[in-house]
Amino acid sequence: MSVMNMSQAINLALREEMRRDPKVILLGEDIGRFGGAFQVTKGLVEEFGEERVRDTPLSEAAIIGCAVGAALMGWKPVAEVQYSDFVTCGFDQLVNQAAKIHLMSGGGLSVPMVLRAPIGAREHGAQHDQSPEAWFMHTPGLKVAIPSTPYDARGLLKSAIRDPNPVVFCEHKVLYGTHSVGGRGLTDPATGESAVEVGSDVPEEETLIPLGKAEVKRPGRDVTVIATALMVHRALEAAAVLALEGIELEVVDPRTLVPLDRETILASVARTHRALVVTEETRTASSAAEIAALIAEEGFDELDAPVKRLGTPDLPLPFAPHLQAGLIPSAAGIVQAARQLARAEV
Amino acid sequence: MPFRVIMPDLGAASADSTLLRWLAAGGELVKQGQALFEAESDKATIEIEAGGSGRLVPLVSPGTAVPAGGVIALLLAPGESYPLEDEEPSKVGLPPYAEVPGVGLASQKQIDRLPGRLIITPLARRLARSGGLNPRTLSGSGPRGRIIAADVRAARASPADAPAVAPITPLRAAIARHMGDSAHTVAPVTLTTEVEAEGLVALRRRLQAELAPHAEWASYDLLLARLAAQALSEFPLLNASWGEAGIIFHPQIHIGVAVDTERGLLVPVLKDVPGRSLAELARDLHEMIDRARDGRSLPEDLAGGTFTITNLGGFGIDAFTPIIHLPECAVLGVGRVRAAPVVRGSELAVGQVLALSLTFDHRLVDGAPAARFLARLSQLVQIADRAVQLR
Repeated sequence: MSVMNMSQAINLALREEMRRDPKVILLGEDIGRFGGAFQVTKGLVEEFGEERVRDTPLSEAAIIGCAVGAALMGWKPVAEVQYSDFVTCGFDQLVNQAAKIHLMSGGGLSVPMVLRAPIGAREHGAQHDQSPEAWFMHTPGLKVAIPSTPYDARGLLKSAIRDPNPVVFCEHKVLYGTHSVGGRGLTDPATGESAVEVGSDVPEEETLIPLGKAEVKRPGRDVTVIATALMVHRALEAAAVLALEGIELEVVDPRTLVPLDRETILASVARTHRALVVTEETRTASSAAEIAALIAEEGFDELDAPVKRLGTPDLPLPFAPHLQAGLIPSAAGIVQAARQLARAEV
Repeated sequence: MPFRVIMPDLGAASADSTLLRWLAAGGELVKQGQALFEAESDKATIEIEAGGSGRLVPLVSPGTAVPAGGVIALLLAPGESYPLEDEEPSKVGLPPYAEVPGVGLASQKQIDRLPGRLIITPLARRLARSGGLNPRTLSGSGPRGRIIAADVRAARASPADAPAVAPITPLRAAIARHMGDSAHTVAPVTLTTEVEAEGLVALRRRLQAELAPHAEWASYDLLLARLAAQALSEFPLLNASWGEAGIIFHPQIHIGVAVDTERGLLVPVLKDVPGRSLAELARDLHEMIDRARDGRSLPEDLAGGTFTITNLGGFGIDAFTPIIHLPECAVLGVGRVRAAPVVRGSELAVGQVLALSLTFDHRLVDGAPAARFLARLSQLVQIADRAVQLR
């Protein structure tokens, strides 16, 4: 067992897959000698060389376009955009090419690429702090992973790289610095954000986590909280608080949005009969909206209260930390919403 | 500035009145004078007209008790919108419908209030079905009375022969309060007597002819109110109230007539009984009884009585012990008019007799004067045909 943060766990997954399969290559801005904007690819160019760890021009269209082309030619590219916000410059390559080629070619071609996309607010401003996972979720042909722990990140990324279809891998920037259980520094040094311990140590042996398999991060009988990425940790913090009041939250982390593990979500709601969906996205047409709709449609007979959502208001995020902090769902906000659900006040 | 619709003072004992239902939909354009809502005090149900015009924004949901003067809705002029930016929330008595951003007025909360709509969670509905429970027999503990799973489980847990508990209506609560106050306050004594009623029967026939085609307005209650008023004018102590400062003698004689309604007992009050014609009193009593039976009594219908008549003759009752309607001094119980043997001189004959029961408050009146009052009233009943002028 090793104690590592999510950045190190992703680095390990890349290293393992590149050792395992010489067709795995990396593309991105400053991912080579510099080690990437968030130091995720640190040390990889030294082991695998500049042919397989390619620094690219500052062009998302070029990065994603090259990845699509390389994938069609049999490579397994892992492309990185520095911030998921910038994916818009390569959106045609992702949405109209990568996502559709397999089906448009009648299954004759496939695009086994991964796009690593750092998401989440970290006080970098409106164009650097978004959580746009629903953009990808809304595009048939793309798979979407969104890990919350180092353990999950490693196992999911390895599965994503081996998957024959394009996978967008959403990495929350605040979580890069957090550790798995047993580690210190559970507070992110850059932001002071606290993250509750979760998951387990990253084991030495290779572990794959299948895409489309949610995990119940904490069992509880009263309210199901479905949360992704950083919100998993805030939901766990809220669960710890409410446990003192005798209210037991069940925290479900879907881990992948496409495919979505509907069974685990619906089974949990069938136990608790109350659902709260918490994501960092702006609320409208978010993954939380999709999950809430799923519960309303397929879990209707199990509900003993309306499905509730917490998210960021429909606003571009402000740069100012004190303004930003008030907009993103907090553990206190989850406590309040879940408490109201548990007490049948809403 | 939008027009504020307030809960009026319905003149009842309780400070709060209950909003029963809106007569216009949220968002509808309401015109001044249009019937806007129904409110219920502990005595009466009243339809209230809009005092202004504009687009209706209900702020209070039906079934809510609101103090007099509380804002229950807004009427928006063209160009005005809700929520109001300059509105202090504290001025609005209760949480508005539109408290959640993005939730419009024509929202679930209004739909929930449609007549006959059952508010129940899907889980609770499923549990009720599988348990063979009719959800309409359950009461909801969730928001807005929503039935939740816990309510179904509680109903299941209680034995099948558990007593049904009906909520107490404002009218029932008022009756209970008045009756309890009376029973705990006054020193009641009941006198009963039987009186020959040929004169009363004849008077009634004459009045029926006079009132045609509204012959049914000529009730014994009306005639006894008139006769009692005459007796009361001769015995002012029976038309008095016990007060902190002393005995209050009422300058006018207003006689309440107890009416049995579906919702409970109501007592419309005939004002100034000696000062008005029988025909006018008959029409007035008829209209007040109609309103009482329809649950639409006006506050003034039910206020100001100085003496009460209650009649159980229609149910075959002769004598009984009526309860004094505080702050009055006495109440007259009227039995049935029936054929019975009577002694006239030394002859036995078949006559019409009527039992009268007078309950009086011994704090104000002693037995002898009360007996004299009842004797005088009996005498008036006997000579009613001569004692009462129709016009």
